[in-house]
Amino acid sequence: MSYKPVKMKKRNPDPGPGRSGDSPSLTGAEDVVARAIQGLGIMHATACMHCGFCADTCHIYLAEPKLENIPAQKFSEITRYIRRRHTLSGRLFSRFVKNGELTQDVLRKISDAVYGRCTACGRCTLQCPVGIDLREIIRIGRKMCAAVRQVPEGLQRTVDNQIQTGNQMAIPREEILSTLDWLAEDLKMEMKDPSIEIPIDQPGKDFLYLINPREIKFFPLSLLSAAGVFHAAGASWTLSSRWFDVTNYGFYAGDTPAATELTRRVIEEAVSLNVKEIILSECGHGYRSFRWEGPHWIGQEYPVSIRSVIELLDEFIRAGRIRVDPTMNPERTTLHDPCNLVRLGGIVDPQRRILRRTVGDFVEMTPNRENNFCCGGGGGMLSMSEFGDVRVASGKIKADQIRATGAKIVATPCHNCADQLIELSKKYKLGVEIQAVVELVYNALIR
Amino acid sequence: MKIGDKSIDFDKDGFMVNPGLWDEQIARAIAGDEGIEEMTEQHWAIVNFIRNYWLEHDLAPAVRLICSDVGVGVRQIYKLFTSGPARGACRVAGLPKPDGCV
Amino acid sequence: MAAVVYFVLIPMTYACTAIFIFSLSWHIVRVVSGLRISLAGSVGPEKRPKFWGSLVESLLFLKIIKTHPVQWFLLILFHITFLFLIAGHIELIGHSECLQIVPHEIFLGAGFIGLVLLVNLSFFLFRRFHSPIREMSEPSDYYILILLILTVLSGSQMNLARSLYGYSTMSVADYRIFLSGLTTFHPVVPDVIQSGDAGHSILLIIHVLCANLVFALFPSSNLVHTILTVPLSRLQRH
Ligand code: HEM
Ligand code: SF4
Ligand code: SF4
Repeated sequence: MSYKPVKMKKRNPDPGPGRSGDSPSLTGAEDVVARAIQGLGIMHATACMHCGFCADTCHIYLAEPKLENIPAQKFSEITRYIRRRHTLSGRLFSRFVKNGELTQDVLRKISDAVYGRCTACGRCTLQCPVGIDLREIIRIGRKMCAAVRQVPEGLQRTVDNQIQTGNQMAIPREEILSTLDWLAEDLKMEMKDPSIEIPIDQPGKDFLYLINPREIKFFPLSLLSAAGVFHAAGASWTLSSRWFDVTNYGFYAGDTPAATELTRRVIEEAVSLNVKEIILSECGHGYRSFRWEGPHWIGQEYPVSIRSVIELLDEFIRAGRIRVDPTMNPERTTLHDPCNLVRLGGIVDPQRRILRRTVGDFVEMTPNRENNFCCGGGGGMLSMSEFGDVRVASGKIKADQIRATGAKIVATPCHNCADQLIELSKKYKLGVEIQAVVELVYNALIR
Repeated sequence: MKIGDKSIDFDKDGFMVNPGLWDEQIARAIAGDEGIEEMTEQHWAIVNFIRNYWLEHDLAPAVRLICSDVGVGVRQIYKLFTSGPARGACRVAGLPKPDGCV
Repeated sequence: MAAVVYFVLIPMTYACTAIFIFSLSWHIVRVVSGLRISLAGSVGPEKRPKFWGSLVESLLFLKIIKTHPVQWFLLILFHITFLFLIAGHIELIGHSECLQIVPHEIFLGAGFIGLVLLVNLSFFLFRRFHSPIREMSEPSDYYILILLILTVLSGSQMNLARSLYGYSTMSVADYRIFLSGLTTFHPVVPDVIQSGDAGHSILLIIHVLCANLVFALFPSSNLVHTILTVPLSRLQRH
């Protein structure tokens, strides 16, 4: 498939750091809505029965059962505006009521609801008997806020970092190269094989492996494990030192121009390195955005195929390219399903097959699979300190789920969830260790 | 929160709002909250390295720098600070929260 | 008085039914034309089975069967009874062989349809007085429910008036004259109703008035879910 170069779209003018709050024009937000309600979008916004069935599916409502935490309530300001502006009865009667006007105040309320009280996990969507895609309306709200720079500060800073430096943690290139060298040395020692290397920027390989910058900066063990497993499988792969970031904070923020730009960079890097496939490291929203949303953003099919490393590991194990021994992971292990990978990404069984082969005592938590609860750290929550208390409180459900399994290790194929789970383990005194799936596979390798 | 004779503000993630006020007593208090019973020499070596690096570069150091400077193995760090270098060690060292997925 | 009765029974009924049919078709047209756009732009793993899965799922309320079993039962009961209600009204227009496969007295359901609906609707209404659904509800949610309750109440009283209390002056034959007149565009108001001789003719007027209001308010109330449920479920992205 050929690839048409994509031009970077103009980003919204930057009125200064953080929340602008007083940019007088809201037309950006209005345009977002006008685009979003094409097709059946408007139906989602007008069909709500206010029946409240969605309430007790939401981990944030369950942790703190108050009115504004009910999923349908989080989008009510958005739908009120849509009804006022875009339905017949709304237009006829809007003259007489203020209800549903879009003002700075209303937009601030929307911003607090869609970023601060919702992780866009989509669990409520499963429940709504009328079939409303609640998460989709929440995303409309995020796009509205992003269009007028009402994104909470921590999240906006991360997006800006990612656009300006190429990775969300602003790690300089030399640092990446030295860290990879250092990791390769460690790996050689651990696997007792001096021929191992971590390939960087090598063209013509089978796949390009995208990683979370966190794997360079703070948690390198998952990258080390992945390199070890790829070596054991005899895979032909490479990293990129330029565009290597698997995350897409533009997606979280609802900032579509930024999200498009991030997708474009990665796809062009894959084309210029001439790889057949892109493999995404364990990342929920990275999978959701690159695998599903990306082609819509850049307006074309990808010239390369794209898979999660979970699918790749599953293939390695099933094809016998690596051999594993479950007794190497004897502790009881449970699995957390990241919303963006499982419910919204469609990868449900591969991680279970992998764990059954690599872990001695694997137990499921309930509910699980598509029906799993969000860990509380999704939707960019982890980057927004202003909502730290909501995040930790809403993780109680997850903590209880984990405790009930009696597991000592929680595996999760998402670095973002991992950070939240580590904190939950501390705050709720679970005493569990959080591991990426690839780390467990690496432990179980028969070398 | 009152620690010693200073009153210290923390953000909702537990990071210091005003990192300039940091001292060893505060570090011990945060470490206690982290579940670290006693700050050993290795803990202090890591914390002081992070602190000094941050004062110089206005950035949290990458884990490679910590390991090579202090001379601990990668796997060791996660034993010393169960929350990891970012939410664990950087917090004890009184840094503001690093951006992004941490 | 006679003028009011005439107005409610004939011009208002036509007008409100017209609004109803127009808005119903307008919604259907929008759904059909919008569905293609939305499906083309939809993102994510495929939903399977596509159409039938969504249909069955939404008609049987499968999403809430496990989480809210009591309300699931009431909802199913309510919506099935509603179908009987529609069938019953068709029989009031004229005799229908296919509805008489199981022979029965008119009105269908031996007076129980109204009661079941009433219980259900009161449940829906009282549910709305309860926090947090009270705060979630919008004014239109209330008035449509109250109108429905009034409609059902007057309808069921008319039925009971005939069958239980033996008021026979206003009979099925009179209803048929009225309704078939309306449907063939030769509207007539039967004398028994006009003159108010039958003690319960006032019930008929309330019944028709409220039903008309329900029809007219349909497009701007939460009742639009009737048309939107199936296509929306089809669109959900997992
Ligand atoms: C496609 C199938 C349908 C679905 C999935 C559906 C779904 C629902 C749901 C979820 C409720 C909420 C009840 C509550 O508040 O607890 C409801 C109520 C109701 N439905 Fe339906 N419905 C359907 C078809 C219909 C039809 C054909 C009618 C007849 C016109 C109807 C009339 C009503 C009424 C009057 C209520 C009570 C309104 C209220 O609670 O405010 N529905 N329905
Ligand atoms: S998407 Fe998730 S967090 Fe948001 S309202 Fe729904 S269940 Fe709650
Ligand atoms: S379940 Fe659906 S219809 Fe009911 S309140 Fe929630 S969003 Fe609205």
